[in-house]
Amino acid sequence: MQSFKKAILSTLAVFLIVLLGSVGIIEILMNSEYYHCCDKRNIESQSGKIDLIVSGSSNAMNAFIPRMLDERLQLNSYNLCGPAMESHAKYLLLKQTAKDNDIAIAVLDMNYDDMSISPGAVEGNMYAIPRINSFFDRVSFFFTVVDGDAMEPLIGNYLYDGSYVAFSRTLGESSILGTIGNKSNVDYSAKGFREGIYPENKKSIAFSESDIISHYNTSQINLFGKNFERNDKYVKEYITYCKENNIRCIISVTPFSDSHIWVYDNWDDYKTYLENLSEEFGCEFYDFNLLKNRYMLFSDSSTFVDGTHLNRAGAEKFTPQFCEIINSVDSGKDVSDLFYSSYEEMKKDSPYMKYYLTHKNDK
Amino acid sequence: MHMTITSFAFILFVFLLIIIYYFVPKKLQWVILLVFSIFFYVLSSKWGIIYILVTASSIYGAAIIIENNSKKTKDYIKENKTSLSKEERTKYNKQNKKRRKLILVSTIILNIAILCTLKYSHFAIDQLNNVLSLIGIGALENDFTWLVPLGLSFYTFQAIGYISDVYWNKVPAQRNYLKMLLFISFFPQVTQGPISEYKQLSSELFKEHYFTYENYSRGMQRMVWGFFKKMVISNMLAPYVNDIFANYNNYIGITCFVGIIAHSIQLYADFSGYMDIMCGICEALNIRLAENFKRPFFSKSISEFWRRWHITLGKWVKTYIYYPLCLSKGLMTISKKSNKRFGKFVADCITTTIALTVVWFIIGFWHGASWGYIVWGLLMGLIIIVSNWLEPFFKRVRIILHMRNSNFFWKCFRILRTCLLFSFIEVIPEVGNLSNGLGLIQRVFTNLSLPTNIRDVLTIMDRTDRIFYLLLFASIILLFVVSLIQRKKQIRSYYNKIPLVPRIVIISLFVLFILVLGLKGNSAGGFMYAKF
Repeated sequence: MQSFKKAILSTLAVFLIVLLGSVGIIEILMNSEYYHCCDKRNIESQSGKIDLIVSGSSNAMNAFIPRMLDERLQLNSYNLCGPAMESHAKYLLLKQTAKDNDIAIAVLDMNYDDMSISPGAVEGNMYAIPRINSFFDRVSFFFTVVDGDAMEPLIGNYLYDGSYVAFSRTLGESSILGTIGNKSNVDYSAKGFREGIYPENKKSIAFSESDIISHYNTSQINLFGKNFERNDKYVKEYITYCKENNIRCIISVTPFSDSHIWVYDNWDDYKTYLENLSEEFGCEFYDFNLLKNRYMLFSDSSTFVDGTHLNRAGAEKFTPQFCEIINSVDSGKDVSDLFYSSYEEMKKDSPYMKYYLTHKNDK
Repeated sequence: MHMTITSFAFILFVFLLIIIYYFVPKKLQWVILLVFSIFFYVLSSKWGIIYILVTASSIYGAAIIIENNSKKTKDYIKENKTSLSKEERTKYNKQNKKRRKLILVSTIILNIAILCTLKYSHFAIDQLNNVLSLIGIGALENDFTWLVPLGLSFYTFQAIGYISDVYWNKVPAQRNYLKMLLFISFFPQVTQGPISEYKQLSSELFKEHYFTYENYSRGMQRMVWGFFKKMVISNMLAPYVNDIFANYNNYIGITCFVGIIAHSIQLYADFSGYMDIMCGICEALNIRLAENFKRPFFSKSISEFWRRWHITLGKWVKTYIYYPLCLSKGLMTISKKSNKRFGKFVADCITTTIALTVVWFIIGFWHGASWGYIVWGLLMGLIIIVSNWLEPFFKRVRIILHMRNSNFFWKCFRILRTCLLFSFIEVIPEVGNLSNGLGLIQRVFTNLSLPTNIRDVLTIMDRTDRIFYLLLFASIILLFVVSLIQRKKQIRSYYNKIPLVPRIVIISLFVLFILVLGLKGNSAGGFMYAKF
């Protein structure tokens, strides 16, 4: 019995040392702003001044330029988006930011791929968790939101990256690789920080002629299912929180490329879901894919990094467009004429459609 | 839910087993092992359990029938010693031996048939389709899928070993079906071996075990060492090796060479790491599992290498294929005739050549259903065969050059030669297919460009997290140093002399090191030998 007791105690001792060591390493990472969208010091420096936030994933992270929002809407904005961020994290960050700021407007970007993100997915939570301020909130988020299968890879990433930070940077020193493009009151110049991480490459992602024929309406975007339901739940929590705290909630959809839209045939199903959502909660909804001037504003050859993300040039066109719509609505104008009523209608004006109709029966 | 061995769930599983194992009455310990083994197997392979049950049932029944028949024959002859003539006794003996052989062969064929159907049917149909296409007949359907149970190749061999041992009267038949099931499905060995002999493993599994702190702590130490090898060395080398294997045409010869060596280290760390984890678990349970590795990269010949690498496979093949083949009527006849004509040495070489060719064909094919593996096996066999034939020549050369085998430089040369031979042959089946494997080797010798900087060689390892790759190199050196030390004495015996508290701190920091470097790449996949 003595030796069994000794075994238990020594095993527990090892476990405790490993646990404390791991927590220590992960806390170093959590406080280091190592990931490009971690922004503790920046957001704290803006504390009390923020009155517009944008919640979303990488699409909106790339599309909304806060400085442009500020100039055109006369507000102090902050982009709370993060890569692959699922709805629970968006909701949590909204509440956290609203505690220290009197937020007037919350823009909730609702691209379809956000809704299919698994709460257990590693990437989104990997970036979101370090942005949660309190240690206990982070631990609670980890154990309630993160899927069982995702826990190990997440801990693995944090331990690896945390050790890297501990080895290669002194604790407290900025270890920023970049932030999410918010204007900053923190001096990052020594690190060569440029505002924003918007990719500037003007890579053409336009379809070739053969792609236009072979890719028209060949797939369906994945809607509904377990992940959709879970995200839907926290989208509703988000909107409800806004209503209860007198925050104007605007549901938006940032633009996708023509080629991306071209491939799928059920966009209107998702649009119907968003329209129903906005009607149920009485909030505004603007799908910027359906702007009637989209084909003049955005081009596959110059404003997109890939099918679903605007590049810098695209963001510089989108943000003012967004502001114009909001300003028009605020001054009492009806903006519905500025949008197509459906994706089906929109596709008819697509630059690909003319070629498709002419050549679809060619051998 | 699928439980991988390098997961927190598996660690919990092991600790739970250890606690329950030592708290139950000693007579029920093997039952606990069986319950945990079945649970592990069902989680890992779900309906694959059916195949294990079929195998266990077939050898269980066959062994009892064989043993009963053998006993019955002996008893009958004993009782009727005076009433039966010698010819009658011999005839009766022969008849029953034939019956026992029939049962043995049928059972082996049944289990081999299951193995071949599940593992080799796609390969067989592919080859048949190649032939059919040559003669202008349409191809057969080949996109069906089988459920291939975990450890199929390993437990099938183990089962065949058991039934053969019963037939040869080496071991008594196991009369308890559940004990037989435990022998086949024992979770530390079902995935990747070792391929245990019934006599050795049963003596360990079914006896009573008492907890000792020493066994527990040594077992845990070995487990941690196994996780270090697998999660740090093997997992971290994997992306580098995979990148070179997939894109070898984009790299210079030196890079391909480094990739080949890295692959050998990765394979060794992966396979022996798994063995250390499993042996460590067994040690904590006071069960001795057969060793599968004995510092193979210090071997001085390919023959010796295969006595130190995957030891139990070599032993199994020797006992159940090689020796029976050598002692078979056909080969004995060839041996006698060759002896008369060419002398003893040549006769022995001819016999062993035939036997080794068969053995290495089987070993190659057992590893994988592809021409790459067959070529791999035959190449290994060829080297051993040629060494046998040329042994007198090499002996003469050594005498002329006054070179003793104990000469340090000669030993180093032989060790290096063996490592390189193994490493180069080993990549043949691993690079997708046979032609890619040969292409990779060819590139080493045909692209002799020098690297312009270290990035040309380190490729994806030369990144911002360079510091971790330096730790990886340090880990590989540590592995080598530990292997060197363990030629004389187990490293754990030095480690266990340290007082308890510093020992706990050291192992905790080592575990933390493994988690930091190893957990990130852990999602990359399971163990390399599990695919066999």
